[in-house]
Order: sequence, then structure tokens, then C-alpha cells
Amino acid sequence: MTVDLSPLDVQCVNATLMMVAAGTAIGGAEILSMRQECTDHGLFSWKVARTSYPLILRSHAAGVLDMLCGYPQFLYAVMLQMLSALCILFRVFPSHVIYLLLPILFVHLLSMLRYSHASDGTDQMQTILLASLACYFATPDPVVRKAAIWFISLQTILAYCTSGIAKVLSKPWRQGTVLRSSLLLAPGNKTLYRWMPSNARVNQLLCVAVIAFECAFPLALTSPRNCLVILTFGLLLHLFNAVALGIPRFLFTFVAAYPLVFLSAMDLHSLLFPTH
Amino acid sequence: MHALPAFLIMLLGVWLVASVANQVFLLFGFARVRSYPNLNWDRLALIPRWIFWSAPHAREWQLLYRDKLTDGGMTAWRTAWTMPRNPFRWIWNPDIRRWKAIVDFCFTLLSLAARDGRQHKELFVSWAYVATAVYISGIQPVPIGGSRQFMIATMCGPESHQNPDILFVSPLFSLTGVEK
Repeated sequence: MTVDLSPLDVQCVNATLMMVAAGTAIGGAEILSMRQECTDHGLFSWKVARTSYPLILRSHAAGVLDMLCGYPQFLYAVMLQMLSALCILFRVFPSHVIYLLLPILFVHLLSMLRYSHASDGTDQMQTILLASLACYFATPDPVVRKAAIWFISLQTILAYCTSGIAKVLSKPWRQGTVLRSSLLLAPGNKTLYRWMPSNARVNQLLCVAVIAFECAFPLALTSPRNCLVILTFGLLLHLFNAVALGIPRFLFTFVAAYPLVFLSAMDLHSLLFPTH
Repeated sequence: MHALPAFLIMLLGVWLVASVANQVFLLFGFARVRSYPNLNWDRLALIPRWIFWSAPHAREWQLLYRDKLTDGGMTAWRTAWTMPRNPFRWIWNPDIRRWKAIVDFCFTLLSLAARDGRQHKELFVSWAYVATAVYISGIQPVPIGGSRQFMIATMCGPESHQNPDILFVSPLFSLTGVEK
């Protein structure tokens, strides 16, 4: 069996790469804009964070990590990460993408150590995207490249599906109280809260719609057309989340995987229904 | 097949299998069918936990602090941080990380404090307590000879049935130690 990469494969991977780079650049700029939180008395103090790694503190790695994660050198690492992301975005060194992705991935993993308490599903998806793209660009081998595409697709499907099932198990989601009450949290959009219908049935319907969408996400692989429909709903959901809860990084990470989910749907369709 | 491609395919395969297995354990844990295995060793969160926003806390926590002055008087409680208004937050929102960090500090601290139903010694050397105390003491200089304490409280919401509530009050502390 031979594995070939089509021009569409390359275009979709490039679209994902661009979105990941844009997300990295914005994320890096966000960290630099609150650099005072990275000092020893800030929310992301390395002096405090390092105490939660007792094993590392007792090893020789402690000195190296202190050097990399301490203040202000960590900010220089973030600047390097941003610079690499901008090089990808503006297609500087287009044939050396792997050497731009590796420092981005390395600094991202450092940041996971440094402020693990402020990380969320977006950061986990970012790890998956960066590592898989690094695998893709590390070798011209088409099997590895297809494997990287499928890995991202399956992780994306797993993410939505697991989240959907967890929401089914969650009482506030089943009762339909989550969407409105989430808007009352600090990041919630209070204008949207006032606009949201207060009727309990309508809220329950909205919550069930989110659950149904997430649980049905694996259906994206059934056909390219179904895939486009599901991805459109996904895009709308993430846009809503960005406006309602102020979580724009979800938009850059999860939607970045969408072109590759579409590719996988195309692959599966052509495998099951070969044209000739 | 060369070594690098074979290694990369194996890496992605193992990662995917571990991810799927973890979601199964996670959902069993979420449904209280069986306890979720301790993944504390995975400090980089390489094995994903995809249950985002499945069980968000229902009320907003507020972190407040006050100072004890050298003359023995106490200042009023002040808010440590509030989410600023930002019309571009759908595309640019660094404050979401601040909020997440504070929420995580509060959640961990309240979980630890609830474990024994009282403030035990281990609580004050826990990462969550130290991190919160360090952050609170760095907001603005503690008056010379004075000390500071913090409080976690729920806010009064627009819903009529929501009343504010005090969840945790720390002892007074200075940068040199906890005041007896």
C-alpha cells in the first residue's frame, strides 16, 4: 500500500500551521503584556512553581530549569517563541519550518511547567498540534506525515466526544443551568447574560444542543459533507465562546485542527468509496 | 523504514492509545464509577484530559486582602484582582490566564481546607497557600512592621437568591513568617 500526499493535504497542513503560529504569537504577546506576573511575586512566579516539583528540585535538572524558567530569562524564551511564530506566519525560512517549530514547542513545554495552574485544554491541544506538526515537518516520509494528520484529527474528535459525554454526566449541563451561570463568572460577557433568555426550558435546550454537537463530532468522519457541517457548527461554537467567555485561544487551537479533520474525512471517504 | 519515521509513528501511536485510555478513566472517574488514577507525574499534561467546562464552578470566587498596621488597626478588605473591561477580549484576553490561576489557587486551597474541616498545619506549607500568600504580599508593599491576611469569598450575584459567603480566611502573615 502506498501513501501519497495530495496538494490539498499540503494546503490544509499549511492552514493549520498558520493558525497555530498566529495563536502562538498572540499567546506570547499576552504573556509579555503581563510580564509582572512572571516575577517572583507574580501569579506565575517560578520560585513558587518550582516547589511543586520536588523530584526535579533534588536532581541536576534544577539548575538548568532555574536558568530557563527564572525571571527575566523566561521572557526572552517567550520572545524567541514569538519570533519563530512570526517567521512561520510571514513565511521566512519556509523550507526550515521544523527549526521554527521546535523552539516553539520547547518554550510551550517550559510554560506548561511554569504556569501549569493557569493552563487549560487549549494548552493541551497546543502541545498536540505543535508536536504533531513537528513530526510532520521532521521527515518527508509520507507515512509519518499521514500519521501526524490522523493523530491530530483523532485527538480532536476524542476531545469533543469526551467533553460531550462528560457534559451528559454533569447535572448542571443536563438541567441547562451552565450556560447562563457561566456568563456570571468573571470572564463571562454580562451583556450577553442580559440578552440570554431566562426561560429554563430554552436554556436546557441550548445546553443539550452543545452536548449533542460534541457527542456527534465523530460523525465528521462519515463524509466530507457531514464534516463541513459539523466543523461549521464547531467554528460557531468557538466564536460564541470567544465572545461570551473571552477565551480566544480556543479559537486558534481547536479550529486550527479543523482542516486536518476535513482531510481525514476525505481520506476515509476515498478509502471506503474509491472512484476507480 | 528508517529509524526516525518508525520512531515518530510509534510515538504518535503510543500517545494516541494513552490518550484514549485516559479519557475512559477520566469519564469513569467523572461518573464516580471508579477513582481516576493519579497523573501527577505528567506535569507537562502530555496525556490530555478533555473535559473542559464540564463541571464549572457555579459561583465566582473573590480574593480579598487586608493589612494589620503597626498601631494594631486593620485596613478595610480590598479586592486583590478584578477582571478589567476589554472590548477586544474575543481576540485578545491575557486576563483569562490571571483568572484561571487565581481560580486554581482558590479551588486547591478550599479543597485542602475542606479535607479536615479545619485549617491544619500542612495547609500552610501547601503550594496553593504559599502561591496565594506570595501573590497577595506582592500586590502592594506590606506596611513596615505590619502583616497581611487574605480571604476567599463568593460574590453577591445578580440572581436574587445568591448571597455573598466567606469561604476561607488566612491567618495574618508577614514575609518573614506566619503571625501566631
